[in-house]
Amino acid sequence: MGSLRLYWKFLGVFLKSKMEYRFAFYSEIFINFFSYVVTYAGIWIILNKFQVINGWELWDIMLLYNLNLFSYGLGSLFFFVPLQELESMVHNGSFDGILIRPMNPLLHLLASRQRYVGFLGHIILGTIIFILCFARLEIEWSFVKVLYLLSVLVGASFIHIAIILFTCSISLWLVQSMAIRDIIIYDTRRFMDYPISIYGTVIQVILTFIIPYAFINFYPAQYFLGGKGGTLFHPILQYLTPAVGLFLFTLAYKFWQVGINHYESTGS
Amino acid sequence: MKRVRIYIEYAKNAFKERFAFRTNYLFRIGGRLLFLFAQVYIWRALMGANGQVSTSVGTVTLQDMVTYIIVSTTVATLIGNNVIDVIDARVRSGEIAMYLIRPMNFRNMLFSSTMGANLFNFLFILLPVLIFGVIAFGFMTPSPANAALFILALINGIVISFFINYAIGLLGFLYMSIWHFRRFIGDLMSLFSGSLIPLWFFPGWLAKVSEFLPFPMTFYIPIQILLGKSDVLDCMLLIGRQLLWIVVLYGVAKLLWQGSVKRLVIQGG
Repeated sequence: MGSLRLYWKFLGVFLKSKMEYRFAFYSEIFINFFSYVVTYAGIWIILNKFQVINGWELWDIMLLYNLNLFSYGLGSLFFFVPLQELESMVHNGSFDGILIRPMNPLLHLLASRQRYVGFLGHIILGTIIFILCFARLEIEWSFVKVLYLLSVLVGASFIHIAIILFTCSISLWLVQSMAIRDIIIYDTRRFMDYPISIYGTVIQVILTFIIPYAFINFYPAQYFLGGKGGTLFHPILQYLTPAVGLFLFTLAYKFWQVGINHYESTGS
Repeated sequence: MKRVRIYIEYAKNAFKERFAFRTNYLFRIGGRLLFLFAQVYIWRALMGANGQVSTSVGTVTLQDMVTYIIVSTTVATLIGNNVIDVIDARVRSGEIAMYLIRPMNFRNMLFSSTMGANLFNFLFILLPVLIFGVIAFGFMTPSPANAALFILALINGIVISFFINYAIGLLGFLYMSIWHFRRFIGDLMSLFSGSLIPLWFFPGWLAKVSEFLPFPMTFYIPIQILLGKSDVLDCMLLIGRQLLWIVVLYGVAKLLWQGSVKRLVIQGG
C-alpha cells in the first residue's frame, strides 16, 4: 500500500516536470490524436466505398476499432513506456537499482521511468469517437449496459497491459527480446482492425485463446451490437472481457515475478 | 569515377551492416507475412461474393487487390528507409561535422547507403515474402511492358521517398526535435501513398487532393502501372509526373541543405 502512495507521488512530480515544456506536452498528445484520425479516415474511405464488411457497417467498425484504441491508450498510458525501457535497463544494469529499493519493483519501474503523455491523445480521440458511435448506433442503453461498458474498458485495458507486461518481461531472461515483442504487440494487433469473423478458424482460435486480443474488441462489440458477426465458439464469450482482463493481468504479473526471481544482473 | 567507387563502398557497408542482424530480419519477414495475411482476409471480406467492384480506373477484381497488397507489402521494404534516423543520429552526436569536411556529398552518401540496405531487403525480405505470397494467394501476371514500366516507376518511387525523408531529416539541423513532424508526414504518407488503400477507392474530392501530393508517387502509381490500370501513354504521363516530383523535391532538399548547413556553422557543431 505504501508503494502505491509513493507511485502517485512520483506521477505527480512527473506531471509537473512535463508541464514545464508545454509545447512538447501538447504536441505529444496532438500527434497521436492525428495519427488515429488518419487511421479512422482510412476506415471511412473503405466503408464509404464498400458499405459493409461481413455484415458490419461503418459505425459498427468504428465502435470495434475504438474499443481497441481507447483501451490501448488507457493501459499504455501508465505501462507502455516504462516497460519498453526494461530491455535497455537490463542491458546496461540500471535495472538493479530498481530491485534494491524498498518499493514494489513494478510500481517503482512504472513510476520512475514514466516520461510520456502521448497516450492521452488516444484517450481523447477515443472518447470523441465513442460519443459519435453511440449517437449513430441504435443501442438501447440500460444501467447494466453502461456498467458493462465501463468494465469492458477496464478489462480490455488490463488485457493490453498484460500483453505488454508479459512480452517485456521476457527480457528478464533473454536480453534481446524487442523483435518478439514487436510481432506480438504491433503485427498481431493489426488483425483486430476488422471483425475476426472474417478470418479462418486458426486465426480465430489464436486471437481468442492464445493471444486473446479478441476480448478487447470483437466479443464486447458483439454484446453491444446484438451479436453481430455470428457466434464464434460460444455466446458466453461476449461477457468475459473483464474476467479475461483480470485473469491475464494476474498471470502476467506472476510471470514478471518469476522473471525477477530468475533475473541475474548482466553485471555491468 | 573514383567518387562512384567510394559510394559503392558505402552501399556495400550498409548491406553488410544489415547482415549482422540476421535474427532481426527473420522476425521482420514474419511480421510482413502476418501483415499480408491480415490484408488478404480483409479484402476478401470486403469484395464479398462477386469478387469485383467498379472504381475510377474501371473494374477491380479480388485478384487485382491481392496482387496489389502482395506488391505493396513487399516493395514497402524498398520504399521505406531510415534516412531520418541516420541524419538525426549524426546531428545529435555532432558527427555530422566530420561529413561536412569530407570531399563527398552527404546526400549521395546517404543515398548509396539506402541502396545498399535496399539490396539486402530485396534479397532477404522482399523475395521470400513475395514468393510465399504468390504461392499462398496467387498473383496476376503482368504484361512485359507493364512490368518494365513498373520497375521504372518503382525506382522513381524509391527516389521520391528518399528525397521526402532526406528533406525531413535536414529539418533536424534546424530543430533538434523533429519526431512530431516526421510522424505527421509519416501518417499522411501512410494514407496518401496508397500503401494500404489504393487511391482508386478514394472518394473523388480526396483523390483530387492527393494529386497535389508527392505521396501517391511512391506506392500507388507504380502498382497501378503494374496492374495495367492505365494504357501505355497514361503510364508515360504518370512516370513524367514522378520525374517532375523528383526535380521539385531535389530542389527543395538542395535549398534546405544550403540553409541548414549555414545554420549548423553558427551553432559551431
